[in-house]
Amino acid sequence: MANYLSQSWLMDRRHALRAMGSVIALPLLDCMLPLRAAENLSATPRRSAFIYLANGVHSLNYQITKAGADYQFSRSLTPLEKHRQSITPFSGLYHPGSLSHHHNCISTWLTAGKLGPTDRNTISVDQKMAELTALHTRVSSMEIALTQDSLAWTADGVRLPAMRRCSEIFASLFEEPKNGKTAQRRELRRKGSVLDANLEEVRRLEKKMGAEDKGRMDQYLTSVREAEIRTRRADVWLDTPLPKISETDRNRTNRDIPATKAGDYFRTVYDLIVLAFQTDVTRVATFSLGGEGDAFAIPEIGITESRHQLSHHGGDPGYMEKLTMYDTFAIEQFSYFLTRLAETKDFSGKPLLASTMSLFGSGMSYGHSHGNANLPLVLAGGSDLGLRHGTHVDFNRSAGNFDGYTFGEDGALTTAHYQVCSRPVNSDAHMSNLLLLMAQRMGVEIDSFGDSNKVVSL
Amino acid sequence: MPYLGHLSRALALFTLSLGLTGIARAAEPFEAFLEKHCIRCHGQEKEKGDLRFDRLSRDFKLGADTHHWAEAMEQVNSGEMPPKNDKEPKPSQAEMAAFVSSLDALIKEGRASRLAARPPVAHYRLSRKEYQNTVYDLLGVRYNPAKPGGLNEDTLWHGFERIGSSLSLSPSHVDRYYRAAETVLDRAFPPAPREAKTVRKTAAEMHYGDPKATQEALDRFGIKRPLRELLFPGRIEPALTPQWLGNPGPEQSGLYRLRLKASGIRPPGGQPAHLSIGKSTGEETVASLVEFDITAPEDAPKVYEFDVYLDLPATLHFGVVATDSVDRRSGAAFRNVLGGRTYLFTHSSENRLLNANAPQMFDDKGNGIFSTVLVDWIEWEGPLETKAEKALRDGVLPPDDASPEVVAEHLRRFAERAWRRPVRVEELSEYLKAYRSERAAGEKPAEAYRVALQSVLTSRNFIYLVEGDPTTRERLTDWELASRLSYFLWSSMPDDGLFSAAKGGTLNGDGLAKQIDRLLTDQRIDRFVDDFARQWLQLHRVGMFPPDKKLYPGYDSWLETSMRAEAVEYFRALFAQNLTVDAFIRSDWTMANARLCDFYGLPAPQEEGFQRVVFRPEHHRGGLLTMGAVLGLTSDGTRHRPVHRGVWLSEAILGKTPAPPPANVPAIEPNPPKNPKATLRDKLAAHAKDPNCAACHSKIDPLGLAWDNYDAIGQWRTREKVAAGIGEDPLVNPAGALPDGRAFGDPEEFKRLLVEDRDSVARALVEHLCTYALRRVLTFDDREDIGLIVAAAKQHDYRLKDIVRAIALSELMRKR
Repeated sequence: MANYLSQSWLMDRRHALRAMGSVIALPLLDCMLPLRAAENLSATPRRSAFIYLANGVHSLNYQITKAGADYQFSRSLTPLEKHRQSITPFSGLYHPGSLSHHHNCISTWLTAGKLGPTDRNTISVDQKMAELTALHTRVSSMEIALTQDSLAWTADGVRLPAMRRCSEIFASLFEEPKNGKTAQRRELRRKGSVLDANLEEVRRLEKKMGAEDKGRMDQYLTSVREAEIRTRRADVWLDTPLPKISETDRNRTNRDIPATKAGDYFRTVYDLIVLAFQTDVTRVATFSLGGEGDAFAIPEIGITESRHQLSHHGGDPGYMEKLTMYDTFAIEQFSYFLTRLAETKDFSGKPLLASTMSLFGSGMSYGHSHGNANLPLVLAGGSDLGLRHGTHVDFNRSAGNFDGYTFGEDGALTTAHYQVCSRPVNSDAHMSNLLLLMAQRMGVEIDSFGDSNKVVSL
Repeated sequence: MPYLGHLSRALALFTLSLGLTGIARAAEPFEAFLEKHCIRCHGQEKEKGDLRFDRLSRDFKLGADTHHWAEAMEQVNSGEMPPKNDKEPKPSQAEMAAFVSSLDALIKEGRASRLAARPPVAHYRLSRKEYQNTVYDLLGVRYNPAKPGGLNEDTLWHGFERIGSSLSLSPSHVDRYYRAAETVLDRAFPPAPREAKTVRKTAAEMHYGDPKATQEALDRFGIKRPLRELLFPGRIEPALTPQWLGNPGPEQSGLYRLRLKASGIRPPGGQPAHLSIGKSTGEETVASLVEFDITAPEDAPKVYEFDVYLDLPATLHFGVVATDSVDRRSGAAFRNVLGGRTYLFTHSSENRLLNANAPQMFDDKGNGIFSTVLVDWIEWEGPLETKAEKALRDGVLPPDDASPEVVAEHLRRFAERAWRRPVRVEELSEYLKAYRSERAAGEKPAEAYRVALQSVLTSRNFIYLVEGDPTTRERLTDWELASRLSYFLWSSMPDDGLFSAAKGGTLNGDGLAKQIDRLLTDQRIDRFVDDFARQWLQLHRVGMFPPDKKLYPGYDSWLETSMRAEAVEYFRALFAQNLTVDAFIRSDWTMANARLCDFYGLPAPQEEGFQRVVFRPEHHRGGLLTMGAVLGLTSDGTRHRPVHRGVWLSEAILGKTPAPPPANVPAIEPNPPKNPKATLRDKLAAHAKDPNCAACHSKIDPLGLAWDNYDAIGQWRTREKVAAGIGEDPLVNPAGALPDGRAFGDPEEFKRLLVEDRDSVARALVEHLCTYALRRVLTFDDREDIGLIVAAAKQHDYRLKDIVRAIALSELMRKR
């Protein structure tokens, strides 16, 4: 494996910190943070990645039916077998707020929010984490979606825009500022002036308005203020040189890949996430392999239909087979990501897999009838953050009223399993409990997230 | 309730949300139900699940306990509550349905009031389209915020892009507004003057290498005709390279006129040749900047002309769009020969002579095998700017040696137009401070002033429509009214005429009517037609689930674009001719282009573009409900979806949103392969047997099942194609009955019943238009004003333009 981090960059970074004085650097950054909790800085950086697969899976070929440590991999999860000790597949979790909301499940996958005309979505867990990690990284978080929207939402319930093209992602992480540092600094100063003027004007009006409901003005104020803080933070980062990316890595990741080469596309985005984590440019990433409406076809394995079409298989055996192949293919690429994380070391010399929690899954389970229960979810990595893997955690089985999975004469799951995927068996098994676990392990000091009722223990 | 008129008869059980929520104020069955079935376990005596109904707030407007009420509705709706083993008798299906619908109405009314709530100063953010139009009308700058890196997508509320309470702002929005303002100012005030130039490339120059060898080849065969470039589906060819324009930088970006002399070959029984020009997608197709059918025959080529905005430097390609492309036949080798420099083309009659050994594109009779386009030459001219566009920038920048007072006055005048209201210099103190601090930082006057201009364009006063003052008032000022009218009818800022009317205090009585008539006849009214039709009909959903290529091989991006355009063009025609709302439901004509005529089975049209075409009964079309766009947008790419069609019709045409489905719906299992094939209707019927589902589905489903004769892309059929199962594909049954019992046998009869309910259809349209104009959800409090508008519109037979005029003139438009 190539050594991404040249020693010189490490020197630069240390040098920069020393130059700024690491003691004064933190309070300086701290004072730029608005309304945020004080940072609980740990020795090991903590990282999280979230990967979304739209339209659920072919549940009959996906479900693991035995709980505990000696579970057997299902057909579509087989590519993860080599990571057995680093992963935990979950069954039975669901988001109460997304039941009957069909394809909108992608909007609440990481928020555990409610959907409806006046129900504004809430902050997504990755952004909750980014509030903390942004203090230490050049880029607060990365949002990637190969089609349609990102998975990330702000505290105001506004969806963050997504990046799609690999060259665009690469540029957002590693590109030198245009026209050099001086020009960039001037640019940031001018931006600061503009935002300052806007802020002052609103504050003046605010005084006139008194304490009553200021409606949109508050939102404008917080957003402009946050943008201003980011501008100032960007200015501070100008003095820290960008990490050096080897020629090989640059060539491999800084290129655009057509949608017809899905495997290459998926893997290159994973490579970019690995590179971003390794160089500590950011510690939080969300990656949607495609939206609910038009996730890619995968011509390289003979799938020319969009994923959404396959999920509405209507019982067609050909479509169900292709859906299973698609699931397996996507899980195989996720397995590639875990392998890359395991073999790549960050600047402290530890494998990334140990410091990185990766959640892979969907907000849907049984696509044909939009079943939003028993979500397919796999959590991987993060042993340095105290996660203990190796078992299949099945919340269906732990429910009192569960009669067990139903098998046909051929030993395969029967279509009765679709009901398990549509109506929660264990109504207490909220997916937010898992998101809460991840947030806590990232160091976010919260006792609840969304509609959580009890943190998942692992 | 008399207020509901005809509709209560047709759809009594529908609760309202899109239109006037809460008109059906049916509170009482709900208290009685609680008393009879719930309080015993959730009241003073017992407090199961920590829930006491006697303690929950009934103030739905405040909404403090809405989540508890929603949970209660959910539990009853799904049959979980009251529990089965209860000693008390279970409530009847009718009682449960009444409870659920009255509680749903209360919750929705509460939500609507919160959505419509107006603080003393209300801010309504401009949509992307409005931003685009406003910067054009303000500075003559063309800027498209929908391009990558532009502004974030607007949040939709039932298709509407401009509902104030849904359009929120995040730090990322602020960044994007900042960058947008920068781009706009760069384009308005470029560092060096731009000069338009014209470049023409002939087919020979564009496509064929080595002119000498090519000429020799033609001479050898004695061919006199000039070379043409043969474009075929499955391979793209350059239409513009940076070199052609002399390697321009981004400062040469702007509007370019594209001229193209071309003709097309349509194979017998095939599609008309369709040319698309845009950026390559990397898959031998292009992302269209412009696309059009080429109907001019080979022997009579035509010059086509378009204005397009080019972000330079740009490389563009030609692509021919057809469902039958060359790659399907013989793969890459075939394409490479045809696209090669030595494959010479002049005329179909000389093709065999010139390329004896190459794959043939024409059959023995000289007919084309594929849809192809023949290009003689292409010309690019630009960047173009009109005098009117340039005039908008006159006097915006102060001279370099201006005194602080002159600088302040310049900024004040600019802010007044940008913020669409009178501005005092004191309000600009922060902006002028930014100018001064930039000067102090060593910036040149012009550069420092740019910062002030940019602040004006990122101010809340620019990106929001601001209504109200710190002290509450009920009515709009004339300035606010001017903006409301111009954003309603032009999707942009007021022009000078409207500003002077506001300033002169003449926006009332005859003065107001005069202004409105001027707005309605101005060319900018086209923006209203485009924007309202798209949002009302939720056309953003067309193609959201791309149709299955195997099931619908005849569907392509051009058909999709044409379908979307048909709905808008039809609205435009109705508006221009001031026809009645009946025409939305039923008519014997539409606006179609060649591709749609093909799709609907009509003869090829005589002219290019969209035109009026007449249907006969056997076409089974006419009106919005049987348009490809409407039938497609409710489908999921594979199947038609009767329930979604019913919900769409109910929302868009009748202004009613049915209650949401309960969360715990059991899964629909796929048809077992060994069972006989069943229609979706049969499967739904099984589903609706569940009494919990039946109450609502019996109201929604007939509205959607009536269109079962149209498949997922809107093609007419009499049998439904079913993937799994044995036997023949089953026959379609579109018959049904409205909730009031009136029966219909087919889609045409359904349309007839709907036309009888013309009052309801017109009222729903008025409500949609008012939601659009006021940028907020309507509530119970608006009912009288709406009633007045409907009455005024009825006097003009519910003619479309008269309805819009009545709304613009109404009291409601003057209220906050």
